[in-house]
Amino acid sequence: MLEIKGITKKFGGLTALDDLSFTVNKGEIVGLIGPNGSGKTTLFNIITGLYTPTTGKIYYEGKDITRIAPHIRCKLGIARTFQVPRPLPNLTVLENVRIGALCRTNKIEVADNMATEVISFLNMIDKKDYLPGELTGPELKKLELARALATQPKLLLLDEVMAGLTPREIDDMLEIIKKINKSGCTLLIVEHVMKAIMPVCERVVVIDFGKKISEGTPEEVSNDKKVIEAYLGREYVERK
Amino acid sequence: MAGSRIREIGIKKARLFAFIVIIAFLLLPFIYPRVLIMRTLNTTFIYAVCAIGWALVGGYTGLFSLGHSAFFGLGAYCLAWLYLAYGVHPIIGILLGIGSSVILACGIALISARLRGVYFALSTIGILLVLMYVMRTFTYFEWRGAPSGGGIGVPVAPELMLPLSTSYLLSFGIVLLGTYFLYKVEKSKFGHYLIAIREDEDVAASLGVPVLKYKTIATIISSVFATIGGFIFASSTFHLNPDLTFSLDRSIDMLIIAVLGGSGTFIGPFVGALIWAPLIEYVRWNWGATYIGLPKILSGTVLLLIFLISPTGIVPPIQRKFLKRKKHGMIKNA
Repeated sequence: MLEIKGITKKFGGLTALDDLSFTVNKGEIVGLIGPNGSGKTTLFNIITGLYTPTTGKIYYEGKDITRIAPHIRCKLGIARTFQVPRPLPNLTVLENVRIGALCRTNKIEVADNMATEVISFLNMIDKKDYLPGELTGPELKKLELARALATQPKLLLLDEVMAGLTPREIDDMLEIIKKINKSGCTLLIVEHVMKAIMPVCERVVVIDFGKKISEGTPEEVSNDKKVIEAYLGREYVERK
Repeated sequence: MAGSRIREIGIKKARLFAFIVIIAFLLLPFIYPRVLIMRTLNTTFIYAVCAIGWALVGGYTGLFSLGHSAFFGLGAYCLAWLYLAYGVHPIIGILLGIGSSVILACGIALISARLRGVYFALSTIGILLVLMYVMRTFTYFEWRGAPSGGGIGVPVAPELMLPLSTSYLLSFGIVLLGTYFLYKVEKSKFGHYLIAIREDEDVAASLGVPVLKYKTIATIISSVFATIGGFIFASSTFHLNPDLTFSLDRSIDMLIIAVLGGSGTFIGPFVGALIWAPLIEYVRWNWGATYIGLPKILSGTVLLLIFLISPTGIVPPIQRKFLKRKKHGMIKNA
Protein backbone atom coordinates (compact mmCIF):
# COMPACT_ATOMS: atom_id res chain seq x y z
CA MET A 1 0.00 0.00 0.00
CA LEU A 2 2.76 2.40 0.99
CA GLU A 3 6.26 1.93 -0.27
CA ILE A 4 9.11 4.09 0.94
CA LYS A 5 12.12 3.78 -1.32
CA GLY A 6 15.53 5.15 -0.43
CA ILE A 7 14.27 8.35 1.20
CA THR A 8 16.98 10.82 2.20
CA LYS A 9 16.18 14.19 3.71
CA LYS A 10 18.82 16.77 4.46
CA PHE A 11 18.29 20.02 6.34
CA GLY A 12 21.44 21.94 5.50
CA GLY A 13 24.26 19.83 6.88
CA LEU A 14 22.00 17.64 8.95
CA THR A 15 20.84 14.37 7.48
CA ALA A 16 17.48 13.67 9.12
CA LEU A 17 16.68 10.59 7.03
CA ASP A 18 19.34 8.47 5.40
CA ASP A 19 18.37 6.11 2.58
CA LEU A 20 15.32 4.79 4.41
CA SER A 21 13.21 2.07 2.80
CA PHE A 22 10.31 -0.04 4.02
CA THR A 23 6.80 -0.95 3.00
CA VAL A 24 3.41 -1.00 4.67
CA ASN A 25 0.95 -3.58 3.40
CA LYS A 26 -2.79 -3.13 3.13
CA GLY A 27 -4.66 -3.76 6.38
CA GLU A 28 -1.53 -3.84 8.54
CA ILE A 29 -0.72 -1.94 11.69
CA VAL A 30 2.94 -1.02 11.47
CA GLY A 31 4.81 0.61 14.29
CA LEU A 32 7.59 3.06 13.64
CA ILE A 33 9.80 3.57 16.65
CA GLY A 34 13.08 5.18 17.45
CA PRO A 35 14.72 7.47 19.99
CA ASN A 36 14.15 11.22 20.04
CA GLY A 37 15.33 12.97 16.91
CA SER A 38 15.65 9.78 14.90
CA GLY A 39 13.55 11.20 12.06
CA LYS A 40 10.11 9.70 12.67
CA THR A 41 8.17 12.93 12.38
CA THR A 42 10.28 14.04 9.41
CA LEU A 43 9.25 10.86 7.65
CA PHE A 44 5.59 11.62 8.40
CA ASN A 45 5.99 15.10 6.98
CA ILE A 46 7.45 13.58 3.83
CA ILE A 47 4.68 11.00 3.48
CA THR A 48 1.98 13.66 3.91
CA GLY A 49 3.75 16.15 1.66
CA LEU A 50 4.76 18.92 4.04
CA TYR A 51 8.38 18.25 3.05
CA THR A 52 9.80 16.95 -0.20
CA PRO A 53 12.62 14.43 0.22
CA THR A 54 16.13 15.27 -1.00
CA THR A 55 16.26 11.93 -2.81
CA GLY A 56 14.09 8.85 -2.90
CA LYS A 57 10.50 8.05 -3.83
CA ILE A 58 7.23 7.31 -2.11
CA TYR A 59 4.65 5.05 -3.70
CA TYR A 60 1.08 4.88 -2.52
CA GLU A 61 -1.16 2.20 -4.02
CA GLY A 62 1.44 1.80 -6.75
CA LYS A 63 1.45 5.50 -7.60
CA ASP A 64 4.44 7.79 -7.23
CA ILE A 65 3.29 10.51 -4.84
CA THR A 66 6.69 12.01 -4.00
CA ARG A 67 5.88 15.43 -5.45
CA ILE A 68 2.11 15.57 -5.04
CA ALA A 69 0.60 18.42 -2.97
CA PRO A 70 -0.53 17.59 0.60
CA HIS A 71 -4.25 18.19 -0.04
CA ILE A 72 -4.30 15.76 -2.95
CA ARG A 73 -2.67 13.09 -0.77
CA CYS A 74 -5.50 13.64 1.70
CA LYS A 75 -8.03 13.14 -1.10
CA LEU A 76 -6.19 9.94 -2.07
CA GLY A 77 -6.76 8.69 1.47
CA ILE A 78 -3.69 9.56 3.51
CA ALA A 79 -4.39 11.28 6.82
CA ARG A 80 -2.17 12.11 9.76
CA THR A 81 -2.23 13.43 13.28
CA PHE A 82 0.31 15.93 14.56
CA GLN A 83 2.64 14.99 17.40
CA VAL A 84 2.00 18.23 19.23
CA PRO A 85 -1.77 18.69 18.77
CA ARG A 86 -2.50 21.49 16.33
CA PRO A 87 -6.21 22.20 16.66
CA LEU A 88 -7.72 25.10 14.72
CA PRO A 89 -7.86 27.25 17.87
CA ASN A 90 -10.94 29.41 17.26
CA LEU A 91 -13.16 26.58 16.07
CA THR A 92 -15.09 24.19 18.29
CA VAL A 93 -14.43 20.46 18.32
CA LEU A 94 -17.29 19.88 15.89
CA GLU A 95 -16.11 22.64 13.58
CA ASN A 96 -12.57 21.28 13.63
CA VAL A 97 -13.72 17.82 12.66
CA ARG A 98 -16.10 19.29 10.08
CA ILE A 99 -13.15 20.72 8.13
CA GLY A 100 -11.80 17.19 7.81
CA ALA A 101 -15.17 15.82 6.74
CA LEU A 102 -15.52 18.50 4.03
CA CYS A 103 -12.76 16.63 2.22
CA ARG A 104 -15.40 14.08 1.18
CA THR A 105 -18.47 16.25 0.68
CA ASN A 106 -19.43 19.75 -0.40
CA LYS A 107 -22.46 20.06 1.87
CA ILE A 108 -22.05 21.47 5.36
CA GLU A 109 -24.95 19.42 6.78
CA VAL A 110 -23.54 16.17 5.43
CA ALA A 111 -20.12 17.07 6.80
CA ASP A 112 -21.74 17.83 10.17
CA ASN A 113 -23.31 14.39 10.30
CA MET A 114 -20.06 12.73 9.36
CA ALA A 115 -18.19 14.76 11.97
CA THR A 116 -20.73 13.96 14.68
CA GLU A 117 -20.42 10.27 13.88
CA VAL A 118 -16.64 10.36 14.26
CA ILE A 119 -16.86 12.39 17.48
CA SER A 120 -19.29 9.93 19.05
CA PHE A 121 -17.08 7.04 17.94
CA LEU A 122 -14.32 8.61 20.02
CA ASN A 123 -16.70 9.22 22.98
CA MET A 124 -16.34 12.97 22.79
CA ILE A 125 -19.90 13.92 21.90
CA ASP A 126 -20.39 15.89 25.14
CA LYS A 127 -17.41 18.04 24.18
CA LYS A 128 -18.47 18.84 20.66
CA ASP A 129 -19.14 22.53 21.31
CA TYR A 130 -15.97 23.10 23.34
CA LEU A 131 -13.10 25.16 22.09
CA PRO A 132 -9.71 23.42 21.90
CA GLY A 133 -8.45 25.69 24.67
CA GLU A 134 -10.98 24.12 27.04
CA LEU A 135 -9.87 20.55 26.37
CA THR A 136 -7.37 18.46 28.30
CA GLY A 137 -4.22 17.04 26.74
CA PRO A 138 -5.65 13.58 26.04
CA GLU A 139 -8.81 15.15 24.59
CA LEU A 140 -6.71 17.23 22.22
CA LYS A 141 -5.02 14.03 21.04
CA LYS A 142 -8.45 12.56 20.41
CA LEU A 143 -9.45 15.68 18.51
CA GLU A 144 -6.41 15.22 16.29
CA LEU A 145 -7.48 11.65 15.67
CA ALA A 146 -11.11 12.63 15.04
CA ARG A 147 -10.14 15.22 12.47
CA ALA A 148 -7.93 12.76 10.63
CA LEU A 149 -10.63 10.07 10.72
CA ALA A 150 -13.21 12.46 9.33
CA THR A 151 -11.25 12.62 6.07
CA GLN A 152 -12.06 8.88 5.72
CA PRO A 153 -8.47 7.74 5.26
CA LYS A 154 -7.28 4.46 3.83
CA LEU A 155 -3.88 5.00 5.38
CA LEU A 156 -3.73 6.70 8.75
CA LEU A 157 -0.47 8.00 10.20
CA LEU A 158 -0.56 8.44 13.95
CA ASP A 159 2.20 10.54 15.47
CA GLU A 160 2.54 9.68 19.16
CA VAL A 161 -1.16 9.70 19.97
CA MET A 162 -0.44 7.83 23.17
CA ALA A 163 2.30 9.99 24.62
CA GLY A 164 1.20 11.54 27.89
CA LEU A 165 -1.79 9.26 28.40
CA THR A 166 -2.42 7.27 31.56
CA PRO A 167 -2.32 3.47 31.28
CA ARG A 168 -6.11 3.35 31.26
CA GLU A 169 -6.33 5.94 28.53
CA ILE A 170 -3.72 4.02 26.55
CA ASP A 171 -5.90 0.92 26.76
CA ASP A 172 -8.88 2.91 25.46
CA MET A 173 -6.79 4.31 22.64
CA LEU A 174 -5.52 0.84 21.71
CA GLU A 175 -9.13 -0.36 21.50
CA ILE A 176 -9.95 2.56 19.23
CA ILE A 177 -6.92 1.83 17.05
CA LYS A 178 -7.96 -1.80 16.71
CA LYS A 179 -11.46 -0.74 15.72
CA ILE A 180 -10.15 1.70 13.13
CA ASN A 181 -7.97 -1.06 11.69
CA LYS A 182 -10.89 -3.50 11.57
CA SER A 183 -12.91 -1.02 9.55
CA GLY A 184 -10.31 -1.48 6.79
CA CYS A 185 -7.84 1.30 7.50
CA THR A 186 -4.11 0.68 7.32
CA LEU A 187 -2.13 2.28 10.11
CA LEU A 188 1.41 3.49 10.53
CA ILE A 189 2.02 4.45 14.13
CA VAL A 190 4.93 6.46 15.42
CA GLU A 191 5.49 5.88 19.06
CA HIS A 192 8.19 6.75 21.48
CA VAL A 193 7.04 4.32 24.11
CA MET A 194 7.59 0.82 22.73
CA LYS A 195 5.40 -0.84 25.29
CA ALA A 196 2.37 1.11 24.15
CA ILE A 197 2.26 -0.20 20.61
CA MET A 198 3.63 -3.70 21.05
CA PRO A 199 0.19 -5.23 21.66
CA VAL A 200 -1.37 -3.93 18.43
CA CYS A 201 1.44 -3.89 15.91
CA GLU A 202 2.06 -6.81 13.62
CA ARG A 203 5.32 -5.37 12.46
CA VAL A 204 7.69 -2.79 13.83
CA VAL A 205 10.29 -0.70 12.03
CA VAL A 206 13.01 0.86 14.16
CA ILE A 207 14.99 3.86 12.99
CA ASP A 208 17.90 5.67 14.54
CA PHE A 209 19.70 8.72 13.14
CA GLY A 210 17.48 8.44 10.06
CA LYS A 211 18.52 4.88 9.26
CA LYS A 212 16.49 1.72 9.56
CA ILE A 213 18.26 -0.42 12.14
CA SER A 214 15.74 -3.19 12.60
CA GLU A 215 12.45 -4.56 11.33
CA GLY A 216 10.29 -7.46 12.42
CA THR A 217 7.65 -8.60 14.89
CA PRO A 218 7.56 -6.73 18.21
CA GLU A 219 9.37 -9.64 19.95
CA GLU A 220 12.13 -9.85 17.37
CA VAL A 221 12.71 -6.16 17.48
CA SER A 222 12.77 -5.82 21.22
CA ASN A 223 15.48 -8.48 21.44
CA ASP A 224 17.56 -6.94 18.68
CA LYS A 225 20.95 -5.80 19.99
CA LYS A 226 21.02 -2.78 17.71
CA VAL A 227 17.69 -1.60 19.05
CA ILE A 228 18.74 -1.95 22.66
CA GLU A 229 21.93 -0.13 21.81
CA ALA A 230 20.00 2.74 20.22
CA TYR A 231 17.76 3.12 23.21
CA LEU A 232 20.11 2.39 26.08
CA GLY A 233 23.57 2.97 24.67
CA ARG A 234 26.39 0.68 23.61
CA GLU A 235 27.75 0.23 27.11
CA TYR A 236 24.55 -1.40 28.21
CA VAL A 237 24.80 -3.99 25.42
CA GLU A 238 28.47 -4.72 26.03
CA ARG A 239 27.99 -5.17 29.73
CA LYS A 240 25.30 -7.72 29.04
CA MET B 1 -33.29 23.77 24.41
CA ALA B 2 -34.66 27.03 25.78
CA GLY B 3 -31.49 28.71 24.60
CA SER B 4 -32.07 27.81 21.00
CA ARG B 5 -35.62 29.25 21.13
CA ILE B 6 -34.37 32.52 22.51
CA ARG B 7 -31.79 32.45 19.76
CA GLU B 8 -34.42 31.93 17.10
CA ILE B 9 -36.45 34.87 18.40
CA GLY B 10 -33.22 36.88 18.46
CA ILE B 11 -32.50 36.01 14.84
CA LYS B 12 -36.03 36.98 13.84
CA LYS B 13 -35.68 40.33 15.59
CA ALA B 14 -32.28 40.85 13.98
CA ARG B 15 -33.76 40.12 10.55
CA LEU B 16 -36.60 42.58 11.11
CA PHE B 17 -34.13 45.21 12.30
CA ALA B 18 -31.90 44.64 9.25
CA PHE B 19 -34.93 44.93 6.98
CA ILE B 20 -35.96 48.26 8.51
CA VAL B 21 -32.42 49.61 8.23
CA ILE B 22 -32.16 48.60 4.57
CA ILE B 23 -35.51 50.22 3.72
CA ALA B 24 -34.52 53.38 5.57
CA PHE B 25 -31.25 53.66 3.63
CA LEU B 26 -33.04 53.00 0.35
CA LEU B 27 -35.72 55.62 0.97
CA LEU B 28 -33.37 58.31 2.27
CA PRO B 29 -32.61 59.96 -1.11
CA PHE B 30 -36.34 60.30 -1.76
CA ILE B 31 -37.59 61.56 1.60
CA TYR B 32 -34.61 63.43 3.05
CA PRO B 33 -32.15 64.33 0.27
CA ARG B 34 -29.75 66.48 2.29
CA VAL B 35 -26.53 66.68 0.26
CA LEU B 36 -24.20 66.56 3.25
CA ILE B 37 -25.78 63.40 4.67
CA MET B 38 -26.00 61.66 1.31
CA ARG B 39 -22.43 62.56 0.48
CA THR B 40 -21.18 61.27 3.81
CA LEU B 41 -23.13 58.05 3.45
CA ASN B 42 -21.93 57.61 -0.13
CA THR B 43 -18.35 57.88 1.11
CA THR B 44 -19.19 55.49 3.94
CA PHE B 45 -20.50 52.91 1.49
CA ILE B 46 -17.37 53.21 -0.64
CA TYR B 47 -15.33 52.49 2.48
CA ALA B 48 -17.67 49.59 3.30
CA VAL B 49 -17.29 47.98 -0.14
CA CYS B 50 -13.50 48.04 0.25
CA ALA B 51 -13.70 46.75 3.81
CA ILE B 52 -15.90 43.86 2.68
CA GLY B 53 -13.18 42.96 0.21
CA TRP B 54 -10.51 43.29 2.87
CA ALA B 55 -12.48 41.16 5.36
CA LEU B 56 -12.61 38.25 2.93
CA VAL B 57 -8.81 38.14 2.82
CA GLY B 58 -7.84 39.63 6.18
CA GLY B 59 -10.70 38.39 8.33
CA TYR B 60 -11.57 34.99 6.92
CA THR B 61 -8.39 33.84 5.20
CA GLY B 62 -5.98 35.43 7.68
CA LEU B 63 -3.86 37.18 5.05
CA PHE B 64 -3.12 40.51 6.66
CA SER B 65 -2.96 42.63 3.52
CA LEU B 66 -1.97 46.27 3.78
CA GLY B 67 -1.89 46.76 0.04
CA HIS B 68 -5.57 46.76 -0.76
CA SER B 69 -5.64 50.41 -1.74
CA ALA B 70 -3.57 49.38 -4.78
CA PHE B 71 -6.71 47.70 -6.15
CA PHE B 72 -8.71 50.77 -5.24
CA GLY B 73 -6.27 53.02 -7.06
CA LEU B 74 -6.11 50.78 -10.12
CA GLY B 75 -9.91 50.91 -10.31
CA ALA B 76 -10.12 54.67 -9.96
CA TYR B 77 -7.31 55.40 -12.42
CA CYS B 78 -8.38 52.84 -15.03
CA LEU B 79 -11.82 54.38 -15.11
CA ALA B 80 -11.05 58.09 -14.82
CA TRP B 81 -7.56 58.53 -16.20
CA LEU B 82 -7.91 56.23 -19.21
CA TYR B 83 -11.08 58.10 -20.15
CA LEU B 84 -9.50 61.48 -19.70
CA ALA B 85 -6.26 60.64 -21.45
CA TYR B 86 -7.30 58.32 -24.26
CA GLY B 87 -11.07 58.51 -24.29
CA VAL B 88 -11.33 54.86 -23.30
CA HIS B 89 -14.98 53.95 -22.89
CA PRO B 90 -15.93 53.67 -19.18
CA ILE B 91 -17.06 50.06 -19.56
CA ILE B 92 -13.71 49.10 -21.08
CA GLY B 93 -12.03 51.12 -18.34
CA ILE B 94 -13.94 49.13 -15.74
CA LEU B 95 -12.97 45.84 -17.38
CA LEU B 96 -9.33 46.92 -17.56
CA GLY B 97 -9.45 47.99 -13.91
CA ILE B 98 -10.81 44.64 -12.81
CA GLY B 99 -8.36 42.85 -15.10
CA SER B 100 -5.31 44.63 -13.72
CA SER B 101 -6.49 44.10 -10.15
CA VAL B 102 -6.98 40.39 -10.75
CA ILE B 103 -3.44 40.10 -12.11
CA LEU B 104 -2.08 41.94 -9.08
CA ALA B 105 -4.23 39.76 -6.79
CA CYS B 106 -2.73 36.61 -8.31
CA GLY B 107 0.72 38.02 -7.62
CA ILE B 108 -0.17 38.76 -4.00
CA ALA B 109 -1.64 35.27 -3.57
CA LEU B 110 1.60 33.79 -4.90
CA ILE B 111 3.58 35.85 -2.39
CA SER B 112 1.34 34.50 0.37
CA ALA B 113 2.42 31.00 -0.60
CA ARG B 114 5.98 31.93 0.31
CA LEU B 115 5.64 34.48 3.11
CA ARG B 116 3.50 34.25 6.20
CA GLY B 117 2.24 36.63 8.85
CA VAL B 118 4.17 39.85 9.27
CA TYR B 119 6.40 39.18 6.27
CA PHE B 120 3.38 38.89 4.02
CA ALA B 121 1.90 42.12 5.41
CA LEU B 122 5.20 43.95 4.82
CA SER B 123 5.45 42.67 1.26
CA THR B 124 1.96 44.00 0.48
CA ILE B 125 3.01 47.42 1.79
CA GLY B 126 6.04 47.15 -0.52
CA ILE B 127 3.88 46.50 -3.57
CA LEU B 128 1.59 49.37 -2.67
CA LEU B 129 4.42 51.84 -2.14
CA VAL B 130 6.06 50.90 -5.44
CA LEU B 131 2.79 51.52 -7.27
CA MET B 132 2.16 54.77 -5.42
CA TYR B 133 5.61 56.20 -6.12
CA VAL B 134 5.41 55.15 -9.75
CA MET B 135 2.15 57.06 -10.04
CA ARG B 136 3.61 60.00 -8.15
CA THR B 137 7.03 60.40 -9.76
CA PHE B 138 6.11 60.19 -13.39
CA THR B 139 4.86 63.74 -13.36
CA TYR B 140 3.22 64.51 -16.64
CA PHE B 141 4.54 61.26 -17.95
CA GLU B 142 3.52 61.62 -21.50
CA TRP B 143 2.57 58.89 -23.85
CA ARG B 144 0.89 60.04 -27.00
CA GLY B 145 0.53 63.39 -25.35
CA ALA B 146 -1.56 62.23 -22.45
CA PRO B 147 -0.60 63.41 -18.96
CA SER B 148 -0.78 61.04 -16.02
CA GLY B 149 -0.82 63.92 -13.61
CA GLY B 150 1.91 62.51 -11.39
CA GLY B 151 1.66 63.60 -7.81
CA ILE B 152 -0.70 66.45 -8.63
CA GLY B 153 -3.25 64.03 -9.94
CA VAL B 154 -5.82 64.21 -12.67
CA PRO B 155 -9.28 65.71 -12.87
CA VAL B 156 -12.21 63.40 -13.39
CA ALA B 157 -14.13 64.08 -16.58
CA PRO B 158 -17.57 65.50 -15.79
CA GLU B 159 -19.22 62.88 -18.02
CA LEU B 160 -18.07 60.15 -15.64
CA MET B 161 -19.61 61.78 -12.60
CA LEU B 162 -22.73 60.09 -11.36
CA PRO B 163 -25.54 62.12 -9.79
CA LEU B 164 -25.26 61.88 -6.01
CA SER B 165 -28.46 59.88 -5.53
CA THR B 166 -27.45 57.39 -8.24
CA SER B 167 -24.00 56.99 -6.77
CA TYR B 168 -25.54 56.61 -3.31
CA LEU B 169 -27.97 53.89 -4.38
CA LEU B 170 -25.34 52.11 -6.47
CA SER B 171 -22.79 52.00 -3.66
CA PHE B 172 -25.42 50.95 -1.13
CA GLY B 173 -26.58 48.20 -3.47
CA ILE B 174 -23.04 46.88 -3.78
CA VAL B 175 -22.60 46.99 0.00
CA LEU B 176 -25.78 44.92 0.37
CA LEU B 177 -24.62 42.46 -2.26
CA GLY B 178 -21.20 42.24 -0.66
CA THR B 179 -22.63 41.67 2.81
CA TYR B 180 -24.94 38.98 1.46
CA PHE B 181 -21.97 37.43 -0.32
CA LEU B 182 -20.00 37.26 2.95
CA TYR B 183 -23.06 35.76 4.65
CA LYS B 184 -23.16 33.03 2.01
CA VAL B 185 -19.41 32.49 2.25
CA GLU B 186 -19.68 31.94 5.99
CA LYS B 187 -22.14 29.12 5.41
CA SER B 188 -20.26 27.47 2.55
CA LYS B 189 -17.44 25.00 2.16
CA PHE B 190 -15.41 27.82 0.60
CA GLY B 191 -15.73 29.90 3.78
CA HIS B 192 -14.96 26.97 6.04
CA TYR B 193 -11.81 26.27 4.08
CA LEU B 194 -10.74 29.93 4.22
CA ILE B 195 -11.13 29.88 8.00
CA ALA B 196 -9.17 26.63 8.21
CA ILE B 197 -6.36 28.31 6.26
CA ARG B 198 -6.46 31.27 8.65
CA GLU B 199 -6.24 29.02 11.67
CA ASP B 200 -3.38 26.79 10.49
CA GLU B 201 -2.24 26.43 6.89
CA ASP B 202 -0.32 23.18 7.33
CA VAL B 203 -3.16 21.49 9.18
CA ALA B 204 -5.62 22.72 6.57
CA ALA B 205 -3.48 21.22 3.80
CA SER B 206 -3.25 17.91 5.65
CA LEU B 207 -7.06 17.89 5.89
CA GLY B 208 -7.45 18.23 2.16
CA VAL B 209 -7.71 22.01 1.76
CA PRO B 210 -6.09 23.21 -1.49
CA VAL B 211 -4.47 26.14 0.28
CA LEU B 212 -2.99 28.12 -2.59
CA LYS B 213 -6.07 27.74 -4.78
CA TYR B 214 -8.39 29.04 -2.08
CA LYS B 215 -6.05 31.88 -1.16
CA THR B 216 -5.91 32.90 -4.80
CA ILE B 217 -9.68 32.81 -5.28
CA ALA B 218 -10.22 34.78 -2.07
CA THR B 219 -7.64 37.41 -3.02
CA ILE B 220 -9.13 37.80 -6.50
CA ILE B 221 -12.69 38.27 -5.23
CA SER B 222 -11.43 40.60 -2.55
CA SER B 223 -9.51 42.69 -5.08
CA VAL B 224 -12.60 43.06 -7.23
CA PHE B 225 -14.50 44.58 -4.29
CA ALA B 226 -11.73 47.10 -3.63
CA THR B 227 -11.57 47.90 -7.35
CA ILE B 228 -15.31 48.53 -7.46
CA GLY B 229 -14.80 50.87 -4.49
CA GLY B 230 -12.28 52.70 -6.67
CA PHE B 231 -14.77 52.99 -9.56
CA ILE B 232 -17.46 54.52 -7.37
CA PHE B 233 -14.93 56.81 -5.74
CA ALA B 234 -13.72 58.03 -9.14
CA SER B 235 -17.25 58.68 -10.34
CA SER B 236 -18.22 60.67 -7.28
CA THR B 237 -15.24 62.98 -7.00
CA PHE B 238 -13.69 65.76 -9.06
CA HIS B 239 -10.08 64.92 -8.77
CA LEU B 240 -7.81 61.89 -8.29
CA ASN B 241 -4.26 61.74 -7.06
CA PRO B 242 -1.96 58.91 -5.94
CA ASP B 243 -2.01 60.07 -2.32
CA LEU B 244 -5.77 59.79 -2.17
CA THR B 245 -6.07 56.45 -3.94
CA PHE B 246 -2.85 54.44 -3.68
CA SER B 247 -2.31 55.49 -0.06
CA LEU B 248 -1.35 53.36 2.87
CA ASP B 249 -3.89 55.33 4.91
CA ARG B 250 -6.67 53.97 2.76
CA SER B 251 -5.47 50.40 3.29
CA ILE B 252 -5.36 51.04 7.01
CA ASP B 253 -8.89 52.47 6.88
CA MET B 254 -10.12 49.22 5.31
CA LEU B 255 -8.34 47.27 8.03
CA ILE B 256 -9.71 49.44 10.85
CA ILE B 257 -13.26 49.24 9.52
CA ALA B 258 -13.18 45.47 9.14
CA VAL B 259 -11.50 44.88 12.49
CA LEU B 260 -13.66 47.45 14.31
CA GLY B 261 -16.86 45.87 13.03
CA GLY B 262 -15.59 42.32 13.41
CA SER B 263 -13.55 41.04 10.52
CA GLY B 264 -14.69 37.46 10.80
CA THR B 265 -18.39 38.36 10.63
CA PHE B 266 -20.37 39.11 7.50
CA ILE B 267 -22.02 42.26 8.90
CA GLY B 268 -18.83 43.55 10.52
CA PRO B 269 -17.43 45.60 7.61
CA PHE B 270 -20.75 47.41 7.13
CA VAL B 271 -21.13 48.21 10.83
CA GLY B 272 -17.50 49.25 11.06
CA ALA B 273 -17.85 51.57 8.07
CA LEU B 274 -20.95 53.25 9.52
CA ILE B 275 -18.93 54.14 12.61
CA TRP B 276 -15.48 54.80 11.26
CA ALA B 277 -16.04 56.49 7.89
CA PRO B 278 -18.11 59.50 9.06
CA LEU B 279 -15.74 60.00 11.98
CA ILE B 280 -12.48 59.94 10.03
CA GLU B 281 -13.95 61.96 7.15
CA TYR B 282 -15.10 64.64 9.58
CA VAL B 283 -11.72 64.80 11.25
CA ARG B 284 -9.87 64.91 7.92
CA TRP B 285 -12.03 67.64 6.46
CA ASN B 286 -12.13 69.89 9.47
CA TRP B 287 -8.83 69.39 11.22
CA GLY B 288 -6.71 67.44 8.75
CA ALA B 289 -5.04 70.60 7.43
CA THR B 290 -4.69 72.55 10.67
CA TYR B 291 -3.64 69.70 12.92
CA ILE B 292 -1.61 67.61 10.51
CA GLY B 293 -1.32 64.06 11.77
CA LEU B 294 -4.48 64.15 13.88
CA PRO B 295 -6.31 61.62 11.64
CA LYS B 296 -3.35 59.27 11.95
CA ILE B 297 -3.22 59.66 15.71
CA LEU B 298 -6.92 58.87 15.82
CA SER B 299 -6.46 55.79 13.60
CA GLY B 300 -3.67 54.47 15.75
CA THR B 301 -5.53 55.08 19.00
CA VAL B 302 -8.70 53.41 17.76
CA LEU B 303 -6.79 50.36 16.52
CA LEU B 304 -5.06 50.09 19.88
CA LEU B 305 -8.37 50.38 21.73
CA ILE B 306 -10.07 47.73 19.57
CA PHE B 307 -7.30 45.25 20.20
CA LEU B 308 -7.30 46.00 23.92
CA ILE B 309 -11.07 46.03 24.53
CA SER B 310 -12.55 43.64 21.99
CA PRO B 311 -10.08 42.08 19.55
CA THR B 312 -12.96 40.43 17.72
CA GLY B 313 -14.59 43.79 17.03
CA ILE B 314 -18.01 45.17 17.86
CA VAL B 315 -20.31 42.63 16.25
CA PRO B 316 -19.38 39.35 18.00
CA PRO B 317 -20.12 40.60 21.57
CA ILE B 318 -23.47 42.00 20.40
CA GLN B 319 -24.32 38.75 18.65
CA ARG B 320 -23.55 36.89 21.82
CA LYS B 321 -25.72 39.17 23.91
CA PHE B 322 -28.78 39.42 21.72
CA LEU B 323 -28.73 36.24 19.71
CA LYS B 324 -27.54 34.03 22.55
CA ARG B 325 -25.12 32.76 19.97
CA LYS B 326 -22.66 30.48 21.60
CA LYS B 327 -19.29 32.09 21.98
CA HIS B 328 -17.93 29.34 19.83
CA GLY B 329 -18.12 26.52 22.34
CA MET B 330 -18.48 28.47 25.56
CA ILE B 331 -22.16 27.83 26.30
CA LYS B 332 -22.43 24.19 27.10
CA ASN B 333 -25.57 22.20 26.35
CA ALA B 334 -27.61 25.36 26.03
